[in-house]
Order: sequence, then C-alpha cells, then structure tokens
Amino acid sequence: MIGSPPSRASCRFDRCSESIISRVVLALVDQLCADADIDITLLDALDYPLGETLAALHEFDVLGVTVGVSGGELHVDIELSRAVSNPFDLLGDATASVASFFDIRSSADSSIVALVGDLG
Amino acid sequence: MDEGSDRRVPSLTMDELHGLLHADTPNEVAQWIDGFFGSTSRLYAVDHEFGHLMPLDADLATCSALPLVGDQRAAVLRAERYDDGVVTWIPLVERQQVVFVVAVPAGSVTIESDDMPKVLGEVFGGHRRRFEDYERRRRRADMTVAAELQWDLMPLRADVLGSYSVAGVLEPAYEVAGDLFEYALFDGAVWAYSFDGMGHGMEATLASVQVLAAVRNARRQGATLAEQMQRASAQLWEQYSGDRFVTGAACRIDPSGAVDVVNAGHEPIRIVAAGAVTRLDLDVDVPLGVAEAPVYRTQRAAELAPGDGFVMFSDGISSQRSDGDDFGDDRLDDALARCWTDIPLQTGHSVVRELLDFIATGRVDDDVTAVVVRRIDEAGSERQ
Repeated sequence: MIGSPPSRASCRFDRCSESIISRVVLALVDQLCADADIDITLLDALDYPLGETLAALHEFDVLGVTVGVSGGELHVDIELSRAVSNPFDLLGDATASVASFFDIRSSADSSIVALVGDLG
Repeated sequence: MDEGSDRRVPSLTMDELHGLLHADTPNEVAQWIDGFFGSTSRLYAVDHEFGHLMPLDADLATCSALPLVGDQRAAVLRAERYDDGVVTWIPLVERQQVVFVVAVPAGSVTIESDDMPKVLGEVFGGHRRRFEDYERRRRRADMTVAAELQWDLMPLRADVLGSYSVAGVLEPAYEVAGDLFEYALFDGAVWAYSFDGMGHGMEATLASVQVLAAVRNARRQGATLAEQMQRASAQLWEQYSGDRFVTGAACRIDPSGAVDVVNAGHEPIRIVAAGAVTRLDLDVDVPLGVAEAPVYRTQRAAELAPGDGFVMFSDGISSQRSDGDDFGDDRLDDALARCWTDIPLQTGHSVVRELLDFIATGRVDDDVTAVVVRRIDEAGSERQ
C-alpha cells in the first residue's frame, strides 16, 4: 500500500448521487479504521447500517460527511442542508438497523446527524 | 454533386502528401481535396456528439448539417467507408477516430489501399489543431469554457495502443465538466483512467485536470499506479485542503491481459468476457484529495483474453432517471452486453445512446463517461 491512513477526514458533496456518497463514506471508514486495526468482520458489518443511514438521509441533501476514529469509537457526522429536530424522523424505517450499531445524536437546530459507534 | 463522373483511383504519392502536409490555409486543403478526390468531392467534419456531418466548403451561416444516424453513424464510429447508393462516404481515420469524411459520388472513386485514408487522417489531425475554422464548423453548439479546457487536454477519443483498442466517450460533449478520460502506452503496458471531479462547472474541471496532470507527471517518472494516484491526491490536498475531491479509477493493462486497478471511490468497473458482463467487486479506497496521506491499493482485477475488455462508467449513467425510474446498474449491464463490439468507440457511444433514449428529455442531468478498453483479437479485427 502507499501512504498512511489519517484519523479524521471530511468530504463535501455537491448534488452527488446516493451511490457515490455511500461509496465515499464507506471507503473513508475503511481507511480510517485500518490504522486502528479494527476487525474486518466488524468493518463489513458496518456497511449495512451506514448504507441505510445514507440512503435515508440522501433525500434531505447530504452536504458533507466527517469521519473520525478516536478512543475506540467511530464518529460519522453527516451534514444536511437543513436543521434537524429529530434524526429518527429522518431515518424512518432505517432507525432500527442504524441504532443496532450507532448511537444517533443531533443537537437542537443543528444540521448535523452524528453517529457514534463502538469499535470494540 | 454530379453523378457518373469518371472513376478516380487516387494514389497518395510523396509529392501529393507533401502538398497536403504543407497547406497553409483551409482553402489550400480544400483545393487539395478537389485535386485528389475530384471536383465533385466534399469535405465534412463530424460534430463532437457524432450526431451530424458539417460541410466544410459551405458558408458557415447557411450551411446545413447532415444528420448522422443508423448505419452511417455506425460506419463513422467504426471508421469504415459507407455507401448509401448515391454517395460514398470516405472516413479520414486519425488512429481509430474519425473527424473528417470525404463524400464522393458513389462509384466515382476507388480506394485501393486502406492505408491511404489513415495517412490522410493523421495529416488532417494536425490541420484541425492549426486551422480553427474546422473546429468552429464542427461544433453544433457553443462549448463551455470548462469543456474547452478538458477536450484540449484529453487524448484521442479512440486509439490502438499495443494489443488494445481504447476509446473515451463523454456526454454532454459541449458541456462536460469534471469527467475526463486518459490512456497511454508506457513501459510496455496500457494505462487507462477515468476521473470524475465533484461539483460542477469550472471548479470540477480544474480539480480533474490537476489530477490528470499529476497522474501523467508521475507516470512519466516511472511511478506505479498507486503512486500516481497518491501524487494526484496530494496535488488536490495541496490546492484544496480536502474541500474538493475527485473520484477515479486507474488501470494498468499488461500485454498478457492482466489488469491491475486502483479504485479511488469510482463506480465498479465492468468486465466483458466472452460476451458476459460482470461488475467487479473491488476494494474501494478514498477519493483523491480527501485526506492528506491516503492509502491506495493495487488490485488484480482481471485476466483478459483476446476479444475481452472492460469499461469504466462514471456515476452519472446508472443514476439517470426517467419518469421516476433509475437507469440502474442492471439495465446498464444489459446495455453493455448488447452493445459490446470489436470497436470500443462504437460500444461506448451505443451504450450512451441507449441511456439517452431512456431519458425522456434526451439529455443527461449529470456528466456521463465511458472508457472502453478491449484486447484485440488475435485475428486482428481492429485496424492500426
């Protein structure tokens, strides 16, 4: 491999398709977790809840995503084009699968949906 | 154009070639064409969308473009002669792409050597870069500045490199911004790339062309695939500090058929083997420019047999919608299987045509790229 993976990275999206946002975010998570020596089975298991999250939020216009790994936790901050009062409303049917791995957080009047997952 | 002209058998001597090579104006070129093919011949340019033939000897304000459709369009894409019973259309072939076509009355001219149109195609390739009248007449629409920049930097739309035929297709040709293709023969291998700069307009183009330059610069210094992509990513990071990224796929194709890939956030590559289409499930690394020191992995993607190939499509294709329905990956796979031919340029444009037919408006709402690479049959169906 060439290079060394970072511990935090961000992407800004400009009307990107759901597939590219999902692909980019999953790639970011894979690379950031690689340095933390995260079990690959766990990484594979992350794909589904992350994918469900991004699919559910895509219609609310994802402006950017920040991914970070620290203290044994994976942090995924998803910035939307508008303030979020209740992220569970946005996630809808995907809430259960997302919550199976991530704590879902959003501050009042914030446009950020924050996911925090334990990397074991 | 008069019918029943005496049959001409033009032979390209060095003196005649010299006269064409050293033409100083389009008028001198036109005179040369008249002298070589006969006074009833006409020279046309193919527009950027391969949708029309533009006459080059008529007044720009009043000339009428000829629609390029059906078998005649296929012939241009395949760089083959076409005879409609009234007119014979002789393509001037620049490597494997056709920009100019000479029309003569059917039966009036015998082309004894397939090499002659190819030699003329190479000479006209030089002239079209010098004589901007040709480029102006070739355009059916105004080209954006971003598209202008990109087309000037990219390689020929179709070529033969070593034992591979390659082609790149961009849609919309006059407005593309951020999507681009690249291929080259270097160090015994074919290197092929597809890049997609995020965003729109000149900002996307500027990011992508920096990537193109960085990749070329690294490759010419002997860098590996992964090193090239790392250096391209570093270039973007230096310029934008993570605020702008480019997804891309870089491939190195060995003469033996081995294909190595670095996937920086790109759409899955599709392999076409024995007529069947397979989406490769490769590991995906981060896009270029996202992180300060990203990791890029080189993966063995395929072993191509003669006649096999692969296609790099940008995201724009499968996500195109019509009446609430996505074109989708399965439909794209089917289209590619149906449209796969021995001529990559024809394959790429045929798939894009199916996409445009699917979209109710006939226009894409996001750039679409297809980079097609095919290993030449041992029978040598592609022409050098």
